[in-house]
Amino acid sequence: MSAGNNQTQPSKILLGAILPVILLFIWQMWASRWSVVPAPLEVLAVLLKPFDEPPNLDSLPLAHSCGISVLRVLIGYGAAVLTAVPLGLLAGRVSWIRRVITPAVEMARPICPIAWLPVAILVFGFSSVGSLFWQQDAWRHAILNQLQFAMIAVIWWGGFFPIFVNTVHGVEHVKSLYLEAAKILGVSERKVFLEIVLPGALPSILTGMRLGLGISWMVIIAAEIFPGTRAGLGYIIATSHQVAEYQFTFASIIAIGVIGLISSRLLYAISQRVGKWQIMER
Amino acid sequence: MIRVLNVSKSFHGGDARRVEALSDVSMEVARGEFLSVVGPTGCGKTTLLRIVSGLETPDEGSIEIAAQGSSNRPSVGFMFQQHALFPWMTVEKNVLFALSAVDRDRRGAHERCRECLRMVGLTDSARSFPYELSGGMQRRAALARTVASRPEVVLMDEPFSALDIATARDLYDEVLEMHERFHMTIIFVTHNIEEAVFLASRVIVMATSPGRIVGEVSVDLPEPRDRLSDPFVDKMLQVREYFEKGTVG
Repeated sequence: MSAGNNQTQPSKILLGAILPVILLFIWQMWASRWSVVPAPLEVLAVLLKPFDEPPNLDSLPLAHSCGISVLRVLIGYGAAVLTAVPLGLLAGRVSWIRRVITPAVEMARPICPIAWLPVAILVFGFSSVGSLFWQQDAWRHAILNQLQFAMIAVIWWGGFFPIFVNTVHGVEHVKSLYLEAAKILGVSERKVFLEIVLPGALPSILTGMRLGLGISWMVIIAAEIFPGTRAGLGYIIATSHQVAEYQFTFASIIAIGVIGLISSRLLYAISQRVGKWQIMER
Repeated sequence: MIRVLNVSKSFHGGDARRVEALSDVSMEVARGEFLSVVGPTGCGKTTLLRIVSGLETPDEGSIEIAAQGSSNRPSVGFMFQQHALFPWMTVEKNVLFALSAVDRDRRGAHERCRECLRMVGLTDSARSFPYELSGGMQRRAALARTVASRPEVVLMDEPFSALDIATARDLYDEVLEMHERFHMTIIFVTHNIEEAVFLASRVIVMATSPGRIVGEVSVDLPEPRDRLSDPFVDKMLQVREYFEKGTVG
């Protein structure tokens, strides 16, 4: 057991806070010497009023943009999980399917998701989840119309590969001892798949999901810089830079960091729970 | 009950040559017999067991297992060298998983599971995960899972080689008790001569390169056996003689 595990919760938090505090201090010094850079307090002021319309920016409020970015990621990443996990399980289990899929996957994997955005816009245009509904109302206008399919498609692309590759890896590396034990016990293929292969591969699948989520966040911020939207943290970063409202740039970056931290912690907690056996078997 | 006829099996070695794991091995095991197979590492005893279990197919020769009931093939239980318990399931779930193949009735399965765990003394650990158990308890749980579905044939591949002597000896008693109670046919593979003689009514000795049978000793000693008695030591010496002959030859 490492020394870190013996520490109490407050001291852990304190340790984790050291680096951000130092960074804040350096930032304050930097801002006081160079007036273009917003001071931490200016950024804090923006973060404390997340529901105000940003002045000089053609943008919805910060909280709204956060929500839109989160929704885009949730849909794109959710689609990636829902496609990559079943396909990965299948490819990991059935060798001819793996042989069909692998070369294409290896070819497609290194392509940066953002490179697909122009293609995605070509395919989906500026259609959004809102285009699926006839009726126009304020709610739709504010949220659904902002969920462009092109952006969701590139998030899907970014999230898919780490999840797929790790799922295949997880299935292939389920100990043959367990599979043989199950075979000798004479249980059905279905049961072997659901109760041996799936739980055996789960820790690896969750690792893939964590990686995929990180990539999804990188992708969405970059994708939001492209035209066709009026909301999103990436959009605020791009437009605030154009009109030199840098406190909004910084506020958005901090928001991304915080959301990333929360979501990654959440997935980590889940993987610690379901993968407890693997940690203990080490 | 089990007839192994002229079985040969070879594997690819590391350097493109073939390793003959088993060469022309024949043996018979009677119903309800407790047979030990001893031999040094690499004599093919594990391969033999895997072939009997159906996990491996022989290159040549055949295996016959006569069923007692109406089904063609009697159920076979296999206890691996490592514990092979599914680490994401509790002990109870592991045993129920084994029972699910034979027992459609859920309540009946739970009852049998409880009985199995009681037999190996793990009633209080039913809800524990394998990693929460000691090595000895893991073996007990594995034993419970292996015999839960009451297989007619139980194959054991050095199941207690990783345990300390005291724990292993406790488990010998469990195995002997189960053999007595369920009239299972057991093939017990080990490299430990004392273990082989203590448990079995017959000991087959194997030798390496190629893996083959070099001798057979019948152990007609009354139970419980006394490891320090002259007849016991005598049997051990007989087995060792074959063992050494095989190693030298």
